[in-house]
Order: sequence, then structure tokens, then C-alpha cells
Amino acid sequence: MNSARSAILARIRHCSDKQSDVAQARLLAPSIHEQPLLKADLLTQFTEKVEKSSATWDSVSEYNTIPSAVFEFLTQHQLPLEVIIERQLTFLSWPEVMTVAYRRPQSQDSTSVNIAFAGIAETGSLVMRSQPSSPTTLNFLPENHIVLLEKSNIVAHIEAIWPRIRLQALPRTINIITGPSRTADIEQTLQLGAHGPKRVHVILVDTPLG
Amino acid sequence: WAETPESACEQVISLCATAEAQRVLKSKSMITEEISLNPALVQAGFEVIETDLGEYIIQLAQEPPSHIIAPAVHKTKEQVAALFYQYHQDYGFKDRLSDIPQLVAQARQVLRQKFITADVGITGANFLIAETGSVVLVTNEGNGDLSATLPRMHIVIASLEKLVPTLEDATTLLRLLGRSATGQEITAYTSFFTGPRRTDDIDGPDEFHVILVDNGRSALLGSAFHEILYCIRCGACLNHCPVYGAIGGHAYGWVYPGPMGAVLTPLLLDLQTTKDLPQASSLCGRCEAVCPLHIPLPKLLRQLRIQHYQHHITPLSTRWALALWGFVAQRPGLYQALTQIKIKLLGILGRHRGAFSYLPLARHWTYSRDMPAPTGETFMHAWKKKQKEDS
Repeated sequence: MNSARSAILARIRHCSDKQSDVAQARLLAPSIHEQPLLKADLLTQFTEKVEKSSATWDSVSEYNTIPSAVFEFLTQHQLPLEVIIERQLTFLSWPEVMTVAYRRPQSQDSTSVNIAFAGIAETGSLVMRSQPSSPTTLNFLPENHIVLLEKSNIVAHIEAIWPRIRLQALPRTINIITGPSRTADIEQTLQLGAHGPKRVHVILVDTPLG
Repeated sequence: WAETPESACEQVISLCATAEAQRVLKSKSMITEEISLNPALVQAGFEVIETDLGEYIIQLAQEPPSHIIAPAVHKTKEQVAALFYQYHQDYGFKDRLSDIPQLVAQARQVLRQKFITADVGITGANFLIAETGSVVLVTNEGNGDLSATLPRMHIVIASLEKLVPTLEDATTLLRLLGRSATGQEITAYTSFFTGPRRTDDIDGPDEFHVILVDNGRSALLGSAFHEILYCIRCGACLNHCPVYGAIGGHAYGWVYPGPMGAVLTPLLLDLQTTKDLPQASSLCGRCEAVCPLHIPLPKLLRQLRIQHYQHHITPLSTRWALALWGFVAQRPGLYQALTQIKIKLLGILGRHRGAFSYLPLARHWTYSRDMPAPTGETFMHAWKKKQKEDS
């Protein structure tokens, strides 16, 4: 393995000797290339793009009203009143008819709820960081994914999240999620819910968590 | 690090063996097609399951992909239904399905069982980031993420040119990739994997391995074919190529079809066995016009033709004809005199029918169509005559 490494690196260095300074400078000061123009304010652009990605959204004033917003979503779609929730949200009190669990999701779990690290107005995307309290499988295994996003965490372009990501050690996984899972592999016909969630629902929160 | 396909496959097999794996998941990856990983894994005794729906379909059909973005684009829903009917009996699905939502739902159920019981997940990488050591994976189905998250070992196989310096650089390329590949501003899932699960994480793989495959790429660096290393495998050149549209992906004979394949395949394999690929092009230039990385594909195809000539791969008759044409074309007086004689002769010979159904030295051309007879005058002749009249 090591001989392959040195042989490959020797060939690369032979051709790009002078360019190693350029690469070093780029690594030290990451530069942003062209970005698409935003057509509206952050919130309007974000929600329009969320809808375009076949996801849905709702808005609440504070965290305490989230359980009722989740309950409403579940009943509206006639889903089981069972949710798997990320552990940062244990302080919320849920309606008694609902079953809530704070654990790693299983394949048959119907709905998950977790908090987004950021939202991207450019594309209507949600940025999820894997953490002990919020495992990656919450984003993928259940058929319904409810994501909480504080309005102040909506940024204009994808690049805006990188300086914030660099402030901490990188997590195992960063997922940038834009709408539900989809495939067009049979006769180029779009179908939602290929392997991941069939529904993605964003709940925007006005007041950030203290 | 792997210099050859064989070495890459051996390393994957030995990793799977240390994980004591039985079931190995794969997320769609062109480099694993290039190194023929699936047959190697099957031969080593592992059960290999493709998890991208298109790849899963062609795995059942035992065919190679026909498009780098939509591998099963050549299959109709009836053909897919027949495959599922044949292979899904064992999972309790006894009925033949007819509509696409049902087919997708059934594949989801069958593959979900595979996901939760697999030991190793193998993915490719759309980009590798030097700054953070991260692997970027782009999917719409979420199969890549489940393959990378559920099994206890995640193996990434990536070719060297996937490496970019920073997160910002990857972002720029991601914008180009989505738009050029599927017309999306961004795919449903863009994921950045960095290392194995952290100590307190409650999911994710215990082990994370990255295998960097060269397979001839470092030799292209700084060569006349350098630009093909910019390719991000979006498939735009395939979608706009009249040749690809007419003959389909399988006709290219290997894993990379279309204009990018016609350039890359001869460079990764050899010039002799792939000699038809650079020739099968009218060099119309649509591929270069739509390439988000501005790779000069027609120029690279022409350079391959030059190499054919230099390495005596071009047939002798063609070489002679080219040499003769070159000699004449460099002498305008001689060229004009000869063409004038030829056009006049053809004009006289063809004046009754107005076309030729047979021409010497052009038998293959006239085999399927007639050659219209010229009017008996060359452009240069007519031009000079007009100039004389005008003055």
C-alpha cells in the first residue's frame, strides 16, 4: 500500500511541483466562486424553495407550541401518533395521546423530529449535523421527517454554513437535505419516497432556544 | 492507495473479510464499475446488493449501466415488472406489478431489509475535500446515506481527480453537478462524511476506510489529455450527443459512454482495442458547449486520432489516403486543378440520373444512400467566374 502511495505521489509532484503553493494558499484562505442571486428576502426565498422541493412548512412562535404543530401534521396526514425525537427536545411536553421516544430510530418507525443546524435560502435545504442527541438515521429511516428550524439560522447561500461548521470539530455526518427522497430510475418518472422519507415537513420557529 | 483495479479490489475484499462480512451494500459508483468490484466480491463469496434503484434493476438483469446518471434508462416499466416478478417471489411478493409507484414501493421494502442486515456499505465519492478529509456523496434516493450509516463498516472508493481543496470549492462544483446532471439546483441529499462514528454517537459505522484509486490518472496529469481529469461525471455530454442518442450507452463497450467515455476509455484501457471510439464522432462540438467544466472534448478526440496515426493504429489505406490528400491540399494550384477535373467528370457521368448509387472507394458510403451528382463546377471556379463578370 505504501509503495503505491509513494509512486502515485511522485508522479503527481513531478507534474504539479509549482502548483503546491497555489493549493496551500487556497487551503488557508478558502475562496467563494460565483453564487446565484436571491430573488427575495431570506425567509420568502427559503419557503418558496422548500415548497418547490416537494416539502411542506409551518411556522410557530416558540418551542412550546411545537408539540401541537407536530400533532396537527400527524392527524392531517392520518399518521400514527408516534414520534422519535432528538434528545435536545426532552423539555417539551407532548399531548397525552401521543407516544414519544428519544432513541435511535428503527426501520418501522413512522415519524422523526429533529433540529436543523441551518437552512439555506438559495435551495430551500436543511443542514443536519450528526450528534449523539440527533443520530443520522433520524433523517433517513422513518417515512415522515419533521425538521425544526430557527428562523435566525436561515442563511443565503450554501457557503455561509462553512465558517459556522468550522467553529467546532466536524461531525461524522453533515446532511444537506432538500425535500423528500426521490427516484426517476424507472422510465424517468419522478417518484417520492425511494429509500428515505416520503414527506419532509419544516417547522420554522421564531424564538431561538435559550 | 491503489494503483491498479486489481489492487483496489483486493483491498476491499480484505477489509470485508476483517469485518467478517456476509452482506455488502453498494451505492451507485462509476469507479466500482471501472475496477469490476462486483464480480470480484461475488467471487470472494460475499453477497453484493446495489441499492440505487437503477443499479439494482440492471444488477437483477445482469447488465452494465447504459448511462452514468440513469443506469437503467433503457428499461421499460414492463421489463422492470418482469424482473421484480422473477426475483421478488422469495420475499413473498407473488403478484406481477404494473405501475411505477408500486414498483418503487416494492423495491423499497425489499432493499430496506437488506439495509438493516448488511455488514459493509461501499460508496463512491462525488468529491473528496483536502481541507477536512471529508467525502461528499450526492444522491436523490437516500440509498448512499443508508449504505454509509447502517452497516458497521463504510468503505469509500474514489479516483484521484475527485479531490478538491476546500468546502467552498466542493460547493461550486456541487452547483454545477446538480444543474448539469438532472436539472436540479441541488439533489435531495448532499452528504459530507468525515471519519467513523464519534465516541458518543448512537449510529454510524465503527470503521471508515477510503481507497484512492489511480488506474492511470496520475499519468494523464500534465499530458495532452489533462482536461479529462476535470470531469465531474454529470452526463450532460451524453444527453446532448447525437451519436450517444443514436447508438445508446452499451455500444461504447465499457463503463463510460458518450463523449467523455470516448475520450476516457482509450486512455484508461488502450488505444488499439478502443480504436473505434474517437472515430465515432462528427466532432459537432455540442459536448464541449454543454460541459460545465468546459472540457474541450472534440479537441481531445482529435488528439486521440493523432495518436492513432502516430502509433500506426489507423489502417494503411486511410494513412495513404490522408498522406495523399495532405500532399495535394498543401498545393492550392494542384488541388484546384484536380478537383475541377474530378467534379467535371462526375458531373458528366451523373447528368442522367442526377445521383450515384455506387462510387469506387466509397462503397460503404453509397451502400445505404445515393451520392448526389455535382453540377460540374467547383466553388473556386464559380467564384472566379463571378469575380470576372463583376469587374
